[in-house]
Amino acid sequence: MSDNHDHPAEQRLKDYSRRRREDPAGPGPLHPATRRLLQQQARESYPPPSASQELSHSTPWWKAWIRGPRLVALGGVAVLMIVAVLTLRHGGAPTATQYAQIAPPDSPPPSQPVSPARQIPPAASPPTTAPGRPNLPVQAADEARRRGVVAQLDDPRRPPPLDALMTPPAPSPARDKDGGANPPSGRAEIALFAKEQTAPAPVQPPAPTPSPALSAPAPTVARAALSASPPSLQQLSDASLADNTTWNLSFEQVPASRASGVALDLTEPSKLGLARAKKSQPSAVLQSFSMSYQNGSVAFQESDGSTYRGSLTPVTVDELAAQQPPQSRALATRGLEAVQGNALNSQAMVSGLYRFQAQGSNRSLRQWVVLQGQLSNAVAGRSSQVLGVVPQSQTVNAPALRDPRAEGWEIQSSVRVGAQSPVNLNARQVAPGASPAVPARKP
Amino acid sequence: MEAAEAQMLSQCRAGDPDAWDRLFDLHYEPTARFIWQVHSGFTPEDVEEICQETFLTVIRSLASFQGQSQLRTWICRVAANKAHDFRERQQAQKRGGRERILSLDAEDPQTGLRLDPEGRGKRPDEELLSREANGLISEALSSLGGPCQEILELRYFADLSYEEIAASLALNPKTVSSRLSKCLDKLDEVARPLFAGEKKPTSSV
Repeated sequence: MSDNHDHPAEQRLKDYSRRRREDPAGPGPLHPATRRLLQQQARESYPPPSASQELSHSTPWWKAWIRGPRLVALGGVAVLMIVAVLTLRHGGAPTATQYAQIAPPDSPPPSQPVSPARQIPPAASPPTTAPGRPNLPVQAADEARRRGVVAQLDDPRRPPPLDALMTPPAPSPARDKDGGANPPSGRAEIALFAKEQTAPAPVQPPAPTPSPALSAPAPTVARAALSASPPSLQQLSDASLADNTTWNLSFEQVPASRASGVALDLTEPSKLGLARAKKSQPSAVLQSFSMSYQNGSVAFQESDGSTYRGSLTPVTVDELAAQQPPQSRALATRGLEAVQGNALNSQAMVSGLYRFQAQGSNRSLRQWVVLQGQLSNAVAGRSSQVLGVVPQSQTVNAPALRDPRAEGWEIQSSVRVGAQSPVNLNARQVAPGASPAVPARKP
Repeated sequence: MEAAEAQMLSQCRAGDPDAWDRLFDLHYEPTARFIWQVHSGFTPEDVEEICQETFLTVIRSLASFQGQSQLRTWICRVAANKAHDFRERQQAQKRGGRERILSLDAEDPQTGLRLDPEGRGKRPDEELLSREANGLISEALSSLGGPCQEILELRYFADLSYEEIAASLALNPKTVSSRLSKCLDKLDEVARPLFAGEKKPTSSV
């Protein structure tokens, strides 16, 4: 291919081009400002990798996801789920944790260290039956009473076995000769009350098993009667509630107006750590039930098979006195000292009340039921009244005194079903052998 | 397109600022010189403006550049188009814009003299120099216009070979040679009366 070297126009073009290129007024090099302008345009049209590909390609997807606002949304969903789970746990079906809080009957809850003086071997002596109480091994009862008192002296903060205070001592030759005349002491007063008890029941060696899970009693006053396997008052009223003690009571619910307070006026249940329950609504559960105690654990069983398990501990006199006004408290203390002398600490006195706490699943309602309350007996209430621990106006146990069935046990408690507000439960022990469905009897 | 040039273009498309700097260093000044030759009436500022517009277009359109021709050929074509557009705008402004409306009969109130406005045409010395130096060819090319002007500029101002022009214009090299021959004939036909002080109507190939 040949160029058009011989064309006159071509020569003119070449001359023109040479002159323009040699013109000193020609364009200069690229100005820095122009370079910056072009670079800016290049960055806008072709973003560098550091700005665009860092998030889209080099960064893992989860990092970009975390940086985004979706993290906030995820956090909100997590909080909602936690709130929902907590709501279901408190108001819905019982959880495994709640089930685990109740020890099975064959595995008693962990008990506090027991003083060796209170640990009575069950077969330490041959069973000797006292007259009128055929199943009561008198020697074991005396041993329990004596050891309970000794333990009380050793540990003034622990209540003594109630049967040790309320059961008459084994008949001694001197006493038989005197016709039962005893010196007027507080222990003797308690023994007089104990003589009124005719509950034939074998006395088990007491062993204290207070449950640490038991926090507070409910606004409850209970009055019990003996059931098919009636426990003796000594057995049931043993403040330490020996591990081997076993008894069973049947109860039926009664209206609140018919329930008689026996020994404790719980006008301020918050002092015992209880929430005030609704007094007007009857409990939908525990219409008729049986209450059994074994190895430090208490169990409430309904007719539908629902079982609520928990623990049972005695209420000390000091706890009762703490609820009284200062004047009454001082009077009670003076009465204690007058009755007992200086040997017994007021803290160790037993009030005749027992607080319990139980919980379980109701099979009919499929709800978790929490039960807190008190089990009381009229005789125990009178013992406290005699001791002067609780003033007459505060004990309000006159119905129990008038009731010929002095063995009646009563329960006053608050029942919480699921997430509902707690309601009052007043129950009275039914006669031994009576069907749980028997209507309530008037006191 | 050479491998080095292809790599540089890929880096430019990837947003590498160093690659863009290399592209500007390689092609800005030759493009400015090319624009400077397109028309003798361009000032260095005009060339700077046209060259900026050219490279802005190159940046925006680099993604669509297929690499069928060399980058320099493609840039020169863009620059030639920008230069022609600029020239048309200049001519449009001279026809109707940038001119003050003055009253030739109005006297200066202080001196009492009448205005002596600047004439549209070049001064006599400039006219002479332009004619002598470069003006006639540039004017003849402008009067040619169209494909002839483009192929002549690429051949003689951008110093492209027939193959490069053929690749740029998607023509056969022999077609480029024959078209160049015809365009030179046309240019000579247009420029001859100019050099003789006459004007002839323009025609295109």
